[in-house]
Formats: sequence, C-alpha cells, structure tokens
Amino acid sequence: MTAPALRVRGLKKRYADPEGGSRLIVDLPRLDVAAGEVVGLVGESGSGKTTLLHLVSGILPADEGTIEVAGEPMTGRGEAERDRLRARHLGYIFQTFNLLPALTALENVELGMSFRPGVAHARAAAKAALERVGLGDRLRHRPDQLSVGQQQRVAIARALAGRPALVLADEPTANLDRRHAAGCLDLLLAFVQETGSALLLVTHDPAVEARLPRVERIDAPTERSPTDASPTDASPTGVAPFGVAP
Amino acid sequence: MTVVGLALRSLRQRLLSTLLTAFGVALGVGLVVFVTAVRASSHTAFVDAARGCDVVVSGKGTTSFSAVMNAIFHVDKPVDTVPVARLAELRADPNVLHAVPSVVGDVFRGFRVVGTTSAYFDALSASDGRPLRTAVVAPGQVFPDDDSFQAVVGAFAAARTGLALGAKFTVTHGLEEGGGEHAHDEQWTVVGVLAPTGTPADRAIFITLRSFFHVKGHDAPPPSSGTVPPPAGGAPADPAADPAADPAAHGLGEEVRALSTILVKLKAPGARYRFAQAWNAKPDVRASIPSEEIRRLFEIVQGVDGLLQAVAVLVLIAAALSILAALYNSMHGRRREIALLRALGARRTHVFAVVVLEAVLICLLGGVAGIVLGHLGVAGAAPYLLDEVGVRLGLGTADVGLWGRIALGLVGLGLVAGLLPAWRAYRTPVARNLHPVD
Repeated sequence: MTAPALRVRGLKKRYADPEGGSRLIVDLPRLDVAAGEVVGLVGESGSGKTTLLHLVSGILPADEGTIEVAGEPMTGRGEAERDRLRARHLGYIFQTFNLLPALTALENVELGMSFRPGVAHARAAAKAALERVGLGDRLRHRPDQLSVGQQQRVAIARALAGRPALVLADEPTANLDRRHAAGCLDLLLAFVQETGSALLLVTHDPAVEARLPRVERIDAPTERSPTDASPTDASPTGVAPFGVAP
Repeated sequence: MTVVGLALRSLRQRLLSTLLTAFGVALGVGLVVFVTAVRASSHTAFVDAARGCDVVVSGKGTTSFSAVMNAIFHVDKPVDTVPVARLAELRADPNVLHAVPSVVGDVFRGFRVVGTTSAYFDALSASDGRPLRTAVVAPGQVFPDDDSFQAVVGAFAAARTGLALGAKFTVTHGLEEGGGEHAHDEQWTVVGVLAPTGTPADRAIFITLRSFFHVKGHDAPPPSSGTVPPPAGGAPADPAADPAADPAAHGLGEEVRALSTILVKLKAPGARYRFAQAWNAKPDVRASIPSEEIRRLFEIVQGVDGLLQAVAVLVLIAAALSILAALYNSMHGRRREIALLRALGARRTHVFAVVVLEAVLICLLGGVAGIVLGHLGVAGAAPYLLDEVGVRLGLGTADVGLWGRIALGLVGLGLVAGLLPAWRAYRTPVARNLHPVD
C-alpha cells in the first residue's frame, strides 16, 4: 500500500512578536493528501498558508504536532535530516519562480535534483522535463532570456523532473496573466498526473480554485499567547483551531 | 550540478568582482614568482661562473669578496697585488691543475680589459660546461702567450662596442664606471670573439698578459692604486732576491712583475679549504674560496629578497581581505539564492562549501594569472639583467615545486578568506528570504 503523500496532525507554529510575546501562525489539526492527489489550499492573506508549506517542507520546524511526507516523519528531526527529506520527496514551485539567474534553463532544472540522493541521469531527466513543458528549444537560455510564462514553466519542470512524492506550489500562477495562468495550470495538472506526484497548491484565484478536484480552506488563528510565553512553551489552551476539513 | 559547478557559475555571474579580486592575488603571486626566479637564476649564474675556479689568490690587502668579484665577475677593484713569484709557486704545487694569472687596470668604453694567458679559456667554462675556448667564433682564435697586442672579446662587449674580428682599439686607464682616467696609445687587434657564454666573460675584453705590461705607464713604479701595475710594496720583484720571481720559473715574460689575482683550479676541489688555509698563512697573499664568497653575497642579498617576499605576502593578505569583503558584501544580495538552494534540498554545509570554494577558486585563478604575470616580468627583465649584471634569466626558472607550494598556500588563503562570508551564508534564514528581497 502506497504511503500518503502528506499526513499532518495537530500542527502548531508560533512566531515571536516584537513585544516579546509570541503569535500563533498555524494551527492545523489534520490534513491528509493521498499519493497522486491534487489539493488546493485557500485562505485569506496572513492565514498561514505559506508558513504551512514551509513547515511541510521542513524549512521551518514545527512547534507542536506531526508531519509525515511519503510516510517519513518530517517533525522531530534535525535540520540536516529535514533537508535530506525535502530533497528526496518534495518539489517546490514559487509564486516568483525563483530561478537562479546565473544558470541556464537546463541547469536550473538539473539543480532541483542536485541534492537528491540516488538520482541518476539528472541531466537527461532535466532535458526531458523541459521538453515536456515545451521548452526543448530553450535549454541554454538564461532566465532573463525567457518570458515570464516560460520562466514559470521552467520552475514547473524543476519541481517535477525528479518525480517527487509531493509538489508544493505557492500561488504558482499569481504573477501570470489570465491566459498564461490557465496554460500553466493545465501543464502543471497534466504533469503531476504523469509523474504520479501529489500536489498541494496554495491559491487566491477563484479560477484556479475552480479547476482543482479538492480544496481545503484555512483561516488565521485568533489565539494570542501571553507576552511572557516563548514560542515553544506556549500552551495550546484557548487555541481556536481553524478548520481544514479532512 | 555539483558544488564546484555552482561556485563556478556564481563567480561567472559576478565576473568583474571576480576578476578584480583575483588580480590582487595575481600581483602577490607574480611578485613571489619573479623574486624567486631572479634569485634562482642569479644563484645559478654565479655558481656557473665560478665553476672553473676553486680558489682565488690575491694580494693580502685585497679582501676575499673583492678578489672573487674581480677575478671571476670582472667587477670591483683589487687594492693589492700578488707578487708574480707566487704564480710559479702555485704552478709547482702538485695539487694545482690550473693557475691562471690576471691583471686589470684599463677599460674600453666601459668594459673591463683583463690581461691574462690562454689558459684562462681552458680553465673557465661557459654555462653549458664547455671550456670558453670552444666558444670562440670561427675563424677567430685565442691569443698566444706572447707579448703581442692581441685581444679576445666577450659576446656582449663585442655587440655593444662594435669590436669585431680584426678590429683595432686602444684602452683608457682606470676602472671607473663610464671610462678611464686617460687614454693609452697602444693598440690591440681583436683575434677572437666569444659566442654568448652566459658567464661574466661575455662582458669582458681579454688581452695578452705580457702586452698589458708593455703599456706605457704600466711599467712605472707603483702608485699604490691597487690595480696593476705595479706590485704592492712598490718594489719590483727581484729575481736575484727571490728565485721564484725568475721569469723562467713562472713562464711569463720578465716584464710581468705583479698580478691582480690568480685563479686556481685544484685537482681535488674538496681540498680547497685546506689549500686556502695553507696559503693564507703566507704574509703577502690571500686565498679566497669563490663558493664561500657567493654564499656570503647571497646571505646579504637574502635580506632584500626577504623584504620583497614580505611585500608579496602583504599584497596577498590585502588580496585575501578584498576577497573576504567582496564575498561578504555579496551575501546580502544573494540571500534569496541561498534560500532557494536550501528550499531545493541543499544543506547548510552545501552553501557553506559553495562560498568557501568561490574564495578558493578566486585565489587559484589569481595564482595562475600571477604565475603568468611573474614569468612575463621575468621575460621583460631578462634583457635588462643580462645587460647590467650578466645574469641570464630563464622562463623555466620557477619550478613546478614552487607552483605546488603557491597552490597550497592559495588554497589556504582562500579557505581563510571564505570562512566569514560562508558563515554568513550558512546562517541565512530560508523562509524569510524565499520571497523577493531587496
């Protein structure tokens, strides 16, 4: 039986605020994404969507709760181990593409697999991914030689070339016009289906939301901890869980 | 993509900064290469020049350094003379292979005129190890050991003065730079011109020993000028008082009364210290060992050498600081790039390694440029040094071992210069920098 792409239980994250207290940013009792499933994540600005992606990817450590990616626990591990899990199981697509300007399209895609252990023929896989997104004739182009839509297609190829268990996409179409946004979304949905990767996609766009088979809504937590509480010892008492329906 | 690939691409992206900081390293390395090459070439040239001579015998009043510089390198002025009787004594010594007399006191257009015998061209050798006699360009020849006014001219002196085979010239008295005190009337004929030998012989004009003493004024009583003539002490050697001064005994003409120096080649060079000690016990002569004087000279030069090396080290330290500053400042603008690498799975140690490697690569790039720069400097300085001091610099003088030491040093320098920027990269927070930053 294939492990779920993502399994979250009782997840909480607080940030220290400038007045010496801490503020609850994420409070997520439960979230499951099955292998190969496409899930949208919507919510108002400041509701913690991006922070949730950082927690799932292990970029930020969780204060409470558990996260499992492809059956492996992301929580309760050191930073280096979280880095290793991120490289092995996750692909990341950013709103601002985040391509390295010094690298060609091919090198940018290859970079996405560089830190993943056991990836053979990374260059061939990168080339195939770029051909899949229609940029087979732009392999040697640098980001500044590509249009905005082409840059986001390179970012999609980078996230999916290594066939990760889960792709995290943070508003991937927000910087594109409507026509390019629709094209990019089509491409992304088709590509994840081909690779068998699950997709957790954060969006504000109702048009994008309408295209997704399942959408979860999160709201900003309302609890504020006492000013002398530290981020790690803040009590969950009084927390108003915000809903992410299973 | 490897860490090396990332570092290389990062350097390429900041090409101007990379080249400027590498240039600082290149200056320091170039100075090290240049100084080392000049030192090695000079040492080789000095040792080569002295190869045919184990001991220099001079007058007691002449210092060892002065005697060696005068006899072998044709510079400096001997202040005392050797009684000619000592030449006969040396030639009779069973330990001696060659004993070659020389006298100085005149110049031709700034080039020293050396009175000697044909044995000089057999005892001393060119830098390739062959006797100087083989360097005489055909159809020229070495002059005979008679009192004819014949001369053999070194390659550089011939090129500079225009003296060619068959040319006639007169000399001026004195050894001062730029000319002599007064002109002599006697005229010599060039019978041989040497091909370049890479030795001080290139810069000298050799005449027959006996002709030197036929010059008007050279046969006069001693002015105690130090140069020959006349012999030290003012009294011409008296064969009656000293049988060894008998012309028949030393094989030179009776006109030869005193010498500036005598070059001695021993049958067993290892015995030179004992030989010199025995001769130094004599009241009127000093026996000096050229290899010892060259060693002392390089000990003195080493001070200047060390100063230049210290300057080179300071330049390298300044270059390392500029690398540190350039990389450290670039870290602010690279926060997003670093955060992205981390988001793609790179560990902190990866980004640390990329930045340190950038510093090391800048140093190595500067090192390669510095070695090229140093050798260009050697090539540029070679004609000047050959003209001025007769030292032939070679492009291959800086050896691979030196390059290896330079490479190791530069890797160390790069590691140190890269540590602080790499630490800043290591500490860059990921989540905060994944989104556009100024």
